[in-house]
Amino acid sequence: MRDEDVETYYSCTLCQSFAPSHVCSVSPERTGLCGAYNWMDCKASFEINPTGPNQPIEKGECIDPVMGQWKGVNDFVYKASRGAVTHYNFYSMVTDPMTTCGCCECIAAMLPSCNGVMTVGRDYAGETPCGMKFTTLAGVMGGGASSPGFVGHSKFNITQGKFILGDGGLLRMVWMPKMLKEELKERIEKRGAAMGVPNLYDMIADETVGITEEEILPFLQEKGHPALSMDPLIG
Amino acid sequence: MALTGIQIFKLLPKTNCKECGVPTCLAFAMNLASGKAELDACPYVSDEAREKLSEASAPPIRPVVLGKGVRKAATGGETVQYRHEKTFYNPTLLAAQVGSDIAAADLEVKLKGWNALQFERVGLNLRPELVAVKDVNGKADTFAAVAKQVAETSEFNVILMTENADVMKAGVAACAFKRPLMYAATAANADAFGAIAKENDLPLAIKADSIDGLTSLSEKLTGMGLKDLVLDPGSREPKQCHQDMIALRRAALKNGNRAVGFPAIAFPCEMASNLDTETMLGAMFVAKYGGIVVMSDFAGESLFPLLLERLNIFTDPQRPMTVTEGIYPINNPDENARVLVTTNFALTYFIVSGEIEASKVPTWLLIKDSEGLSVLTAWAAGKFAGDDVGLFVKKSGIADKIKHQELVIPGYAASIVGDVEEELPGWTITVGPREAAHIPGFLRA
Ligand code: SF4
Ligand code: SF4
Repeated sequence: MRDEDVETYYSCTLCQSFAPSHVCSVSPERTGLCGAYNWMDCKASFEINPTGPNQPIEKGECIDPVMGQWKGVNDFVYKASRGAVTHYNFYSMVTDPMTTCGCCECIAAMLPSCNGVMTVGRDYAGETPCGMKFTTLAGVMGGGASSPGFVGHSKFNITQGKFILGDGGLLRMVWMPKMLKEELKERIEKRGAAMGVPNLYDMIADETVGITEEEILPFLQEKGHPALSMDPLIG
Repeated sequence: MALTGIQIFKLLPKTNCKECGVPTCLAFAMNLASGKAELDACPYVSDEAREKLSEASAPPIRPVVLGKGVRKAATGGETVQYRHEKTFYNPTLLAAQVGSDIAAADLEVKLKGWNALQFERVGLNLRPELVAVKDVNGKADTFAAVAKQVAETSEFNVILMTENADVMKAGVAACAFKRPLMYAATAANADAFGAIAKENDLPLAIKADSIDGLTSLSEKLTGMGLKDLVLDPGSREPKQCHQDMIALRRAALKNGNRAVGFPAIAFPCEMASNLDTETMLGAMFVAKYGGIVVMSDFAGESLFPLLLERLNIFTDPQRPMTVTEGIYPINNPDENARVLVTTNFALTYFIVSGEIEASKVPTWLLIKDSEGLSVLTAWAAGKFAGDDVGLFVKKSGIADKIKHQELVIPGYAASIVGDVEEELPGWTITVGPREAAHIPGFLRA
């Protein structure tokens, strides 16, 4: 199922108890960032409890098909965040990304010198090339804010079709913890192939290659990672 | 509109040289954006960038470090008006006051008593930080002697309270090595006090009769090159002071008013005639923006609630409180005592250990790391599943402390019984009560 196939997305505001301005919008190709709610779950939850935390959102007019922004979603988010968040993009981590609470499975961060992004799951406690561990990242960008350059997402979302597609999609991914990478191996290979880079999996660095941008850049160059030849990540 | 991390990042040198104390320019940019770092920490920012970043170049409320040694602490550094927006960072510092005419022997007794007021909670040691020495007779030598005795014979750090520059000088000479807070510069003595603070590199409190008065004083002193200031709006009527505290915090955070971007100090000791009322007011200022709260005395029953309140207000609401994984002996258990296991969510631990204590039955309580989740949540998230509970019990070393092989698991995790049994061959796994309140009955049965 693709985002284009439906007119209705669902909200999730369960996490507002501790991240008051946070609103997850769940679409078929973007599961909730905690990994616990996909579009179907939200739909079912709404049908069971029509006044609950999962409300239908009519997409309405499409403002930006590449970044993934809809008027109906913006209006909903503005209201549900009580004015704190005016708009956000579904498919970008660089430009006005979705808000992030504290309970995301993974946090993606940009790696400017590699012209790519990395992501780290909460199981990986070590240092990462962006200079921040998972907990530090969660501390600086969680709490319900939209922080350009960073976004919380679920593990499953990494290989979903719309993952940061506005920024170049999965082909931007230059670093992941080994454990997470291996867990998603098959799906990364499949998604890479669909995007025209069948050996993407082998091009993504992990902590055995390095934990700084300087350490992983030569590896990416050697492998010919597609991110290196993409448009600059930040203008 | 505040700058985002990415906007700040674009203006930084992007060399990842690490001199600012974090590994990358990006990490530094994020710290600046969230008000946790000062631009000055990066030696390589261009003048052009500095100008553009001026708004984000320092925390909206400066963290001020007081004291030295084990009770050294920072106050201020807050970035939000309401705790639920993010978290509060630096707990309100608690002070008790002595007059400069106190006899050395009496002071010794007091300090001993206050030093004994330390409480263990969730693996933390809760205790107050400061003693305020108040000049009551204008005598520099006795003031200095009392300050010296506090600084040298106790762990407490010092607030020097006088508006007389000569007395202050003597006090500073006696205890500057402990980085005391000077209280207070006023419109009348600001030049002299500013000079003393600058010369000795000490934090300085300023006192005015209104917030407007504070603003002009603070601008004057920062103009003299002072950075570490503490604000006293001068109000001693609880309602007015409460309003002032809120106004100060709002002005610093919402309006970006740098002149009041410093922690505030409150004086319940000057607002009430007995310690009970003082404590109540102290509690109000712990919650509403007192960076330092000065009481007339510390007593167990007044201090403990304040410390606990402080702990609660200043813990990060987005991170569950946890206790350390391990074996907790309760009521002096021996080798025949029963073994209970539960998760490391602090609330779970408190309730369960409290009930066991109340039962008076000697018991070993095993706390398994479940990332701060309660029993049912941990079970659902796979952090309190059969095999890992079994594995933890094996590794915990409890087997060496007991002669039997029985383990009691929480009633809510009843479904893991089979898996635990598999992991712990030979053990009897008993399903305990679901509610902690039923533990005493269960243990006594
Ligand atoms: S993170 Fe999960 S639970 Fe929280 S608001 Fe988003 S979908 Fe809902
Ligand atoms: S000191 Fe400046 S240039 Fe060096 S890493 Fe920090 S922000 Fe970047």
